[in-house]
Amino acid sequence: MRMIAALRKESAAAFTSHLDIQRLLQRAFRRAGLPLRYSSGFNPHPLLSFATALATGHTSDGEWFEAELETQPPSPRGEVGAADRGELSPEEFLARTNAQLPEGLSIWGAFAAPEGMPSLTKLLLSAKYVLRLHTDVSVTQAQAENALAKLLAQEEVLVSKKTKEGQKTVDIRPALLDVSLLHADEEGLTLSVTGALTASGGLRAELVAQALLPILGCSGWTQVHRNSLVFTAPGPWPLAPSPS
Amino acid sequence: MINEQQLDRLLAKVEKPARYTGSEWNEYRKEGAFFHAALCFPDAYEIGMSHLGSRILYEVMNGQQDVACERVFCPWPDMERALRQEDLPLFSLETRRPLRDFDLVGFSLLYEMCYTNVLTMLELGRIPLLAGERTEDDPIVIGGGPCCVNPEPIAPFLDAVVVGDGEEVMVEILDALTQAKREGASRAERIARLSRLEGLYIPSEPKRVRRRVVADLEHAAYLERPIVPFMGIVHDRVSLEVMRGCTRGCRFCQAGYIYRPVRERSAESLLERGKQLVDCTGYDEISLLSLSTGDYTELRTLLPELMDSMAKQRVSVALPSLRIDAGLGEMLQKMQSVRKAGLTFAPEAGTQRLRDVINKNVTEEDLLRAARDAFAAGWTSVKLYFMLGLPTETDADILGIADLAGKVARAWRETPPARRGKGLRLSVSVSTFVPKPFTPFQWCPQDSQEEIWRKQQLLRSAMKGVRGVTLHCHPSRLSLLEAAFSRGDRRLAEVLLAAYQNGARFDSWTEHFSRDAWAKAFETCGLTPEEFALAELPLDAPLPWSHIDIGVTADYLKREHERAMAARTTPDCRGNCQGCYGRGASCV
Repeated sequence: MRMIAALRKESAAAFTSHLDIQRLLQRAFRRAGLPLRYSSGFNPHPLLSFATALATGHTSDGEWFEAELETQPPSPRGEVGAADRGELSPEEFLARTNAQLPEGLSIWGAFAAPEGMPSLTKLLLSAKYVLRLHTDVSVTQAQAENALAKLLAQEEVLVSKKTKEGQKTVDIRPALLDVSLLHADEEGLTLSVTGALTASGGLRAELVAQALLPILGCSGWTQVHRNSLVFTAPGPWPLAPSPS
Repeated sequence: MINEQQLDRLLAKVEKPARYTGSEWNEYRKEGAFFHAALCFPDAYEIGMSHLGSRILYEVMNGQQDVACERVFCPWPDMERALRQEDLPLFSLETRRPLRDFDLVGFSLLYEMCYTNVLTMLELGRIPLLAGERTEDDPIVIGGGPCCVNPEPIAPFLDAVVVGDGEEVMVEILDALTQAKREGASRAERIARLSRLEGLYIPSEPKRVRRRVVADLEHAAYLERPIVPFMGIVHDRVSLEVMRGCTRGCRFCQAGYIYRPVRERSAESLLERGKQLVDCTGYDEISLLSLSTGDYTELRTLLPELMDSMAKQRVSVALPSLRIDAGLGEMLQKMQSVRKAGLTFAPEAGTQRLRDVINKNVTEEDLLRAARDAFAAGWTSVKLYFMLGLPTETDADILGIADLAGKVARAWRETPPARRGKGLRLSVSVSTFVPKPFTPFQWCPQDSQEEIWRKQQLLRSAMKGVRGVTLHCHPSRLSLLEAAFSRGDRRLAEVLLAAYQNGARFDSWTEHFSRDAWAKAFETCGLTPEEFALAELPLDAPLPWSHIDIGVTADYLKREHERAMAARTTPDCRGNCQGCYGRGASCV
């Protein structure tokens, strides 16, 4: 069956790379006695895919993924004998998998994919983030508001980005849908950022901080938290439980 | 303790931050323990976590009621910089406790080229480097592992050294030190108590020490609940130790002598453990570990049953150390179903004469048959492993390597295309011979750097005539240092310290190895690596490791040395005792 669920990633687990998370989930499913199905073909691989990758070091409330499990969804007639037939309810999936996940990782909001539902990647539109910008000098609320207004007023926001080929200058303005100040204190700023995110690319949230620092005239380091992913189709998406 | 915010700042500055976070699946975190032990591995996380011995000790130590054992790995140079910039001490993964706040700090010493990392860890952990400079508040620092059969080059940095198998003696060490801590015993008294345990060597009071041996492997500690790392590590699978020790007696191989006698676990318990380990880790690969798994008595029972029960769960079984012998073809047939990763064959030397000298009882026909079997069974990637600079080696032996590689390539071309896979990938890997203590070659000189380069050139040009083979020669500079530190004495401790101060770190990583740091260090101390590595030692001279008693006698090693020089082989000692423990003594 095709199960869809969201992974919360926090504390130490945030430093696990996207590939390592996929491997970690495979192992957790095995321990839970819920093995993944494998693709057919010469080099079979387990059928597990995320709507999008999350950068190493970022935390998240909801990394949606789909997993093809060897088990069946429960039949509509009821629960009696469901387990004997190898059927699996979303609740049981959550309970069994969460019991096998290390500190900092948990899943929520599972549901069985309706027939014909496209892949999550195809449905993905945008993402919402909270950025914590630790600045080396104190920034007032007014200064921060002012800097954000300047940033949004620019037609192009050019930042330098590290790629496999080396440093590259990119314009993040088209993918930056919204940014606003949530909070300013002596140690830095907290921002709310919405960025486009589709299969063909999107905003890298930490680059917003990189663009903002020169406007603020200071330096600092950034922590990124992804609040939610936004998908096109109205589907059976459960709302994220409020962050713990 | 390092707090969350400090950790986040550090982790934002380094590559592979998962090396430092801890909290992996199956981690032990014991709150409120009375005694705190740090298990230190002087290399990167992904190397240290691949070491089965350290992982067994981690469980053994945490199995003690009053003890919390936590892991510490050597920070990568970027993390070392970050710690220095932030002025933070090196800390453990489990509870981020600074190294100097532990009662006991133990290092696993698996290869000599990790020694500078020991110093990095001590210094970043804010523990005085030299044992003699430590005060009442400093932890007791010990070392263990195969390097400790000649502990002298690192001895001044350790308060005590464990020689031999660690599972049993570690419990005795913890008992002694926990008791001493309860009594408020002084540092001198704590070390004195350690000196009374068999297998413990106290560098400040050198005396004869007997190696510890776990006699009954079947009932020794198993790894029960291995940690499953967040990040990929080198050996990312379930490791099952099927046996310890090896009976073959290859004369260059230190492990073949210092882990005697052979001790096996039963197939029955291995099957049960294998299943339990897969269940509690979720790994999809299980590896049967030993020095020579093909020699495991019950392999023909264990392998089919294990593969059968694992296949249902899509778990593959790997045999990393098979010998080239008659049974191999059959084994390869059985392994048909598993992933065809590369096969490595280790003839070690290019001619039969030299293979007889080193007692590698493998013939050219054995190798070619194994290669043909592997090709016919679908393997396409084969690696041949050799050493350059073995005692008595001549140019004919080196040309023999190219000849042998050519014959293996021909065996591929002669395999019917319908049976073999697509495209042969044959590589020949050549390292430099390092004379090791407690081998029949411990007295032999290593070839000079110039001679090794000449031999590598000779091999390179000979290989040009062989189609479809790639040749890899390991850098020989590292082998020179390895030989010096393998056979060196306490004078090298000063060189080690100087090299560390000159910036030597992660010396076994070619990208970090600093030739200059070492060259300057030797110069400062008025020594050369050559005088340790290249010397031919007289058979009756006292050796820097003579005070360590590993079981195998010096007389036996001398006998083997003489047989080697006469190119005479010695049979496998299973059921054919060669008397290596001396007259009237037995290894079991």
